[in-house]
Amino acid sequence: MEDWLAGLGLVMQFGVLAAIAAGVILGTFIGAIPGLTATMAIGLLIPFTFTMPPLMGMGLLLGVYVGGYSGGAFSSILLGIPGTPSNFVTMFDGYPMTRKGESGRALTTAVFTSFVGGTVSAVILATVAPPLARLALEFGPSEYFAFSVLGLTLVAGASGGSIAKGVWAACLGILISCIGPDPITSQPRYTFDSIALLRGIPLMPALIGLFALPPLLQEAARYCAETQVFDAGISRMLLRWADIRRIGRTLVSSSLIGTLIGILPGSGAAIACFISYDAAKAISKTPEEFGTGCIEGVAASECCNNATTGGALVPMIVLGIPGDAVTAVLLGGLMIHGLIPGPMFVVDSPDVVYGIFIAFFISNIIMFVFQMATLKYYTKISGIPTKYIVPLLLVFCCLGTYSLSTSLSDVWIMLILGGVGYLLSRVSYPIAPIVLGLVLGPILESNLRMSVLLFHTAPATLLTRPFTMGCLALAAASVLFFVRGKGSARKPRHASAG
Amino acid sequence: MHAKRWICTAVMALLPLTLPAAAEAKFPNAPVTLIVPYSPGGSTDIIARGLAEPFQKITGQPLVIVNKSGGGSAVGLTEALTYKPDGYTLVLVPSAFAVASKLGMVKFDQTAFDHIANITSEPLCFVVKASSPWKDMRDVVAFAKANPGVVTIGVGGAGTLAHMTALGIEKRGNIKMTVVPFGGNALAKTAMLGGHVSIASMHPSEFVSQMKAKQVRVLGAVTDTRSPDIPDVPTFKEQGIDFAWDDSRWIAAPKGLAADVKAELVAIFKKAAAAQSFKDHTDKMKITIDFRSGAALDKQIGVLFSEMAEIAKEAQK
Repeated sequence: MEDWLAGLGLVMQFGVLAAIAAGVILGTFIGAIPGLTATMAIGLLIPFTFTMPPLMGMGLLLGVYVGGYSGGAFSSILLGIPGTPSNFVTMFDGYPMTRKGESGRALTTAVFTSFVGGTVSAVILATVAPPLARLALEFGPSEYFAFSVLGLTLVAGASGGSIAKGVWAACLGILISCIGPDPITSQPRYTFDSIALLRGIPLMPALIGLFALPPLLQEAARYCAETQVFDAGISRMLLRWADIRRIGRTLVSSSLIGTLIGILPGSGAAIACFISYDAAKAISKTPEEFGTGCIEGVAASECCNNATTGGALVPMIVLGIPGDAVTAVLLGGLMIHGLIPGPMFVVDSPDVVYGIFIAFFISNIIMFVFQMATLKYYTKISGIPTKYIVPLLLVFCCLGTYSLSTSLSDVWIMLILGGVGYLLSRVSYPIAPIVLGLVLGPILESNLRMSVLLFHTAPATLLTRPFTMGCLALAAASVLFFVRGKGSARKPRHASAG
Repeated sequence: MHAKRWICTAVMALLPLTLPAAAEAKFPNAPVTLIVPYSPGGSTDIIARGLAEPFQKITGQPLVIVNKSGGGSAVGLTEALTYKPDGYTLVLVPSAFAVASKLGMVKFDQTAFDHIANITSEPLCFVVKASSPWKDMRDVVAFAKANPGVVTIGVGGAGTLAHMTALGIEKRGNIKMTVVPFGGNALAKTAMLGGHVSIASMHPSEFVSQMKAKQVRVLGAVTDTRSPDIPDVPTFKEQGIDFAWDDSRWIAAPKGLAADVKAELVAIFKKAAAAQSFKDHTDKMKITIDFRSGAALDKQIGVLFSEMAEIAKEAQK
């Protein structure tokens, strides 16, 4: 209790609160602009925190973290372009909702569920962080391998129409992820002696290319035909009780999935959202509505990605092991002040640790208030006529991609994958499995090969790994379930869809 | 096009007339760019940003940090070589450059640069869980000799300095281990704490909290002499494995730097590295300031590259 009060004393100062608010506002905008991510913003802000008191600096960075993860939903929902990699599952239902004239409802749901996810993870972080951090240690290479196999079976959920096309698309994604240095021997693969390909295909340019360019090109192709304006749906800006009740179960499952997967340092929010989306679909009473613009889909993704933030802070604070790319930079931000996260952190400076918990909690509240209050301005974007928004977005895509690592080769990667995405969507191949392959490919490959290396030193250990066995069994079950379910449930849907 | 070139030429020709003072002014009379071959927020970036403040105090000119990350450090180093060697574009070179060069990730070696000043060094250490039966490297060597390939060591990635260090220890210690490259030091540390690998290769900043909590034990450091940050940790050399190099960061410029500019830069960075603000900055990160220039620096880089050449040959077999 004393520590909580000491932490509260550190946070409840004008400078700290102002820094959190500034961080949230900045994060919201940066997240909303496709290409600019919270990771990048936090990296760039670190030098500004050198001269601030530790908690003021952390408050600013935590604000960007929380604001960025939920701000990314705006462009996913309004434009069909993922603001950050962790928001791209939001698109599955968010963008169809905008097309149906329900952007207001989608955005409100996104902000509300982000808040719930973030808050649940904050509570878990503040109460049971030490035992939960053990989870991060339980996961070795074989567990990560089995986990990503489970993730890959979600191709079924992400492919929409034809499962065969989905599997091919996922394979393409994995193949693209093979570009760059071999994870075990570091020999360059498929790089054709190009220095640009030596670091592999970066995720964000690929995402922008695959998701943003094809629809923009399609719009441009039929530019003369008509000018489409979606109803902004401002009337539905308030949160309705019926909606909250509808997403209740999703909120519980997604918060927990997000927090738990967030704790695993080798995974990430993008994977967590896929799994959360799949879980929400499995427990939903109306799974057939997923992908057509239902609020559970938006809730599953947005609640989950914000829940990963609290999860990722668990191993960072308890073990000094960052749970994701953002917390890796946050760790640097703490060390600059001579604070070294790890087992001694809470012993040496309990006030700072509890201050971080409180600042994280407050970030979520400020995020909710700020984003709810400014929502109506964002929805105006969907009212801009296509002929203006398409060229504008093309410019943003190029600028955003360039600024990621100030590299023109990223822009080329984005454009080329955009062309690939356009061609594939013309022959109605789903794009989402490509991303799933891109995200999971490297984890799958490196962990499989590491497991094999370790297996040689101690073959008996494979059978004593409940997580590995459990995940693989679950993956097999999900494939079986899908194949069997397809025979009975798919036929009528296929007829109506075709 | 012709007009543009003509105007350019005219302006260039007139510049010395209009700005005689600036032309003769001491170097630097414009902002200096420092390329960091890693992304913002990482430890190399933080070292660079710590230099920016004293640099401006000493020279009156800002030190602009530009991050060019990717391919280990290959992307940033390659980019740095596209600039003129006028001293206005510098690069913070990591020891990992030697790996990139000897494994063929970049097509050039240390001779492509004029090396100005070494700024920091971090000892790479081998760390085990406190419950491990091994008290020092001698125990590991004895065990590995009896059980070849059974000792597992997690490193922060394929083709990293830590990876090559593990291979170097294998070679000089005449032992066989299983080296497992993880996607970053944090994951290698996680795997060691979780018991998935027996040893992890880490920097002091990464294990100091666990060391204080007596959850881990440090077997040795791959430095020439004991690091002042962890004076209780013996070097590998002391334990009979003749292998040492530093994980350093040094300032370099594309080859062809004028001697007076180079001397001036050495003087500037000597002062900057000695500044109290920089010391405070690196102390907190548990990074040792290790200023070296001239022959001492050339020797350090020479040893690093020749050792690396030998180990890389082994790695590619």
